[in-house]
Amino acid sequence: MPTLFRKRIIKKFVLFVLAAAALLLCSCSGDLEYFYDYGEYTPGDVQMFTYEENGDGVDGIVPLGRINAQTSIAVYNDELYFIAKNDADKSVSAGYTLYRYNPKTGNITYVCADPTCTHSTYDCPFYGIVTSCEFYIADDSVYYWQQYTYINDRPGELEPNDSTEISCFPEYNMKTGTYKNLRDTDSSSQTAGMVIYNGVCYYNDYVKDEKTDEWHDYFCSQDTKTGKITEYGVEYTPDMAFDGKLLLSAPDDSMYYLDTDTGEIHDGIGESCLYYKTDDGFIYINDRELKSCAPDGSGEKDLGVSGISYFYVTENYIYYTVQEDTVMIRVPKSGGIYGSSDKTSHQLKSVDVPTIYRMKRDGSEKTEIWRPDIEENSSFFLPEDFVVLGRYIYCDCTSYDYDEEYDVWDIVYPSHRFIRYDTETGEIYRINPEGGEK
Amino acid sequence: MKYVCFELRKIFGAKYVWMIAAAMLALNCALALYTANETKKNEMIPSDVAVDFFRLCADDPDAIRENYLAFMKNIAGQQAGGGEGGETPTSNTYSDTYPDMLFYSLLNSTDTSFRTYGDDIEDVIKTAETNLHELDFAGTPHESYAYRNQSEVVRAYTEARKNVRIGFEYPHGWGEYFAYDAVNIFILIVTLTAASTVFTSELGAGILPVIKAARRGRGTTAAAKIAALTAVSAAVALIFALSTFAIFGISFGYSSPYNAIQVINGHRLDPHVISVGEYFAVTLLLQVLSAVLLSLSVLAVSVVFGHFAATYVFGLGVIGVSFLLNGIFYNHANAAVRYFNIISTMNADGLFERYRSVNVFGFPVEYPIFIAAVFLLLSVLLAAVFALVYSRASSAERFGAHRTLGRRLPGKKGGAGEGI
Repeated sequence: MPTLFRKRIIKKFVLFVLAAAALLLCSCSGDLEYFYDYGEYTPGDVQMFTYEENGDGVDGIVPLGRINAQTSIAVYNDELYFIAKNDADKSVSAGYTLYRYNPKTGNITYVCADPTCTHSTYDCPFYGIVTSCEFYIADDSVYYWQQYTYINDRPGELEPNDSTEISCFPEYNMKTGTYKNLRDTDSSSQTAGMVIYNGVCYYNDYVKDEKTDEWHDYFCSQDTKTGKITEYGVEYTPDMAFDGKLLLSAPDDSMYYLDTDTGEIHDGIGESCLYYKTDDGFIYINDRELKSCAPDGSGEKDLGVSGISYFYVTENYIYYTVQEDTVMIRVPKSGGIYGSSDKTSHQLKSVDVPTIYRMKRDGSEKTEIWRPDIEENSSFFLPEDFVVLGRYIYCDCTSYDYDEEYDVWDIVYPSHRFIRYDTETGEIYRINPEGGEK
Repeated sequence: MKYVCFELRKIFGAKYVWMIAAAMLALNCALALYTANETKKNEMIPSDVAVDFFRLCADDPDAIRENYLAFMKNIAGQQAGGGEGGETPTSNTYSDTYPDMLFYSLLNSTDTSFRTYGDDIEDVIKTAETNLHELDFAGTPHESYAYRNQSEVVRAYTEARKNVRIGFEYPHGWGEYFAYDAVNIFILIVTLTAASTVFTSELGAGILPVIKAARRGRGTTAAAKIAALTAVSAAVALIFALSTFAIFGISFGYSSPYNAIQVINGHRLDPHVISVGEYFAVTLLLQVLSAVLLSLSVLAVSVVFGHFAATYVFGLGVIGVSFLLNGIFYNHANAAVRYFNIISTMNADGLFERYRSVNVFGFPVEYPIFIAAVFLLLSVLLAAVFALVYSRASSAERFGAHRTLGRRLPGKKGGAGEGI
């Protein structure tokens, strides 16, 4: 039985609860007088967009490393993927996120499937995506580097503003929307030259040899399902994978391959890094000259072009870039700020103007495709990395504006624009005119 | 009812339950007061002063607009006249302590935030519509979770955009109260203490076989224990929540409970068309439900372990794991793990801040609904488990209580049953 003391306590509790409940009624402000009106929702204007089919694609082409060699744009299932400024976050400090572009509909969507996500909070799978590194797409999953400072800034926390550095290599499944951290990393581990093949990630990592106490850039693999990591104890770099073989290049340019079924390393094909595998063999670049060879690495053939700075292989053609002209542009002097209005602290600098050509894969029918048209009093784009789908070149460009007062061109910021160039009509379609904005 | 009262008396009769409850309540009140004071320090303008200003704005918007224009003209004049280093004028029309600049800044940010709500929701709808278009283009079946989820987002936010009515006022008190989540730990500890007492105290005292031998000593007693514990857990959750509510009310006061929940920080993308007051009621319900779930799980485990310390450690483990899951780094956990635990459910804010769903056989089910349903089911299941085990198993034999009773009843030859 409760004692008298406890009965009193109970009474006090009851009074306390009643008082608290009364506060609910008396402490609140009165009725609201003015309400905001948001009008009717009307769907936005549809962007004028046309797309013409063309048989050329990238089926059967195995590129170096990831889905596309060396580009900042990846092609997967006939859609383009690229990292750009996060336009869902309107703040100045908005970070970057991964986008998907459907060339047939002209729609850009976020790869993060949550339509309510602003992609600027920790719970977005692409928050802190590292823009300076490549990302990889295979088997409906995206693999990328993620790096940011996690600050515990939730109100009411006992230890607010507690910060932790997050650096990892996660996998995001685009079908299921699930996120999995494959391994924690540091910035030195964010290496290029990774290959994802049959659910295994092949990469390089700095590993300490316990016997010699020395650090090595060893070739490793990780099973993406189990997370198990295997070190091979050799400093080879994974190049590309096909038919159960993973091509590896050694520091001395000699080639090897890993049998992905047995895990054994054998002497490889060719003598230098092979960039694209096609049905006919390999196409690669050596001393800025394009070459091809047979599937077994024999019969090196010079394709007759030199001074190549970039190339891309499709089912029918090889597209390549040659720097043939230069243009003077204005850039800040050492220590200056790009885009600053103070033009007195700027200097002129010569910039190469790339021209894009194409030829058949056997080296025949060389044709000029796109020579940037640089005229005074007009802006222009200079193509950088590109991919080709059908008759269109999808390109990361630098945009320049003409300054009449000083008779000079300036880089337009944000400097990188994603555009579509029609190889038949020469029309330029700006996919994200503000570097990420649709 | 008689049995329930008896069980209640037994719980309240344990001195340590009172001591822990009192200590936790005092600690919670102190912490809430401290948090409220710390939050107040960061306020640009004290909430009572800001409320008066906003009331003035609502009563006579034209006068405020005129004052504001004059204020801006004054600034422009000073800057044009080569004012010293662009210093802003320090007029004090609305308060002796705080400059007008602060009031206008607060008014501007609040008004902008309320005014642009419709645009932000439109962005969400458009993103989901584009996703649907792409899913259609890719031939994704309309019966798939991915398609249904995007459709549900369009439906929920179209509904929200149409029906959410944001009223002009200075929102205060509620956001600070909802953000204070330490109260949940105190609720769970007191609930755990009470729940550990219900079964193990009888077992420890050795009177369990006596009770079970009685006519209504099994089924009715088990039901009474469940009912009493549910009532105590609910009461504990309400007492702690309401006392916290009172403390934040005294510190900040509360803005209108009839305004839309979207005016509260972090709830801008909340798809639910409910008022702040209704959301408050929902948080209370979730706190009660979570406390009941914990107490029933502890009760079910206590009948299996039959040991106070082991039961208590289990309860602490459940709280600890929930706490860790709630606070885990987001990039290391998928949503289901992050939200599907007692602490996250009691905090509620995370579940309501925007539309989030679980894939249940291809159908998107909102997290709050899913979790409430699962918690309810689990509670019923755990209660049934307790009742079943309590009624069936011979606990006296399993835990050796007959020997304990035998020792306490000198002169009796056999065990407890024989003795009685």
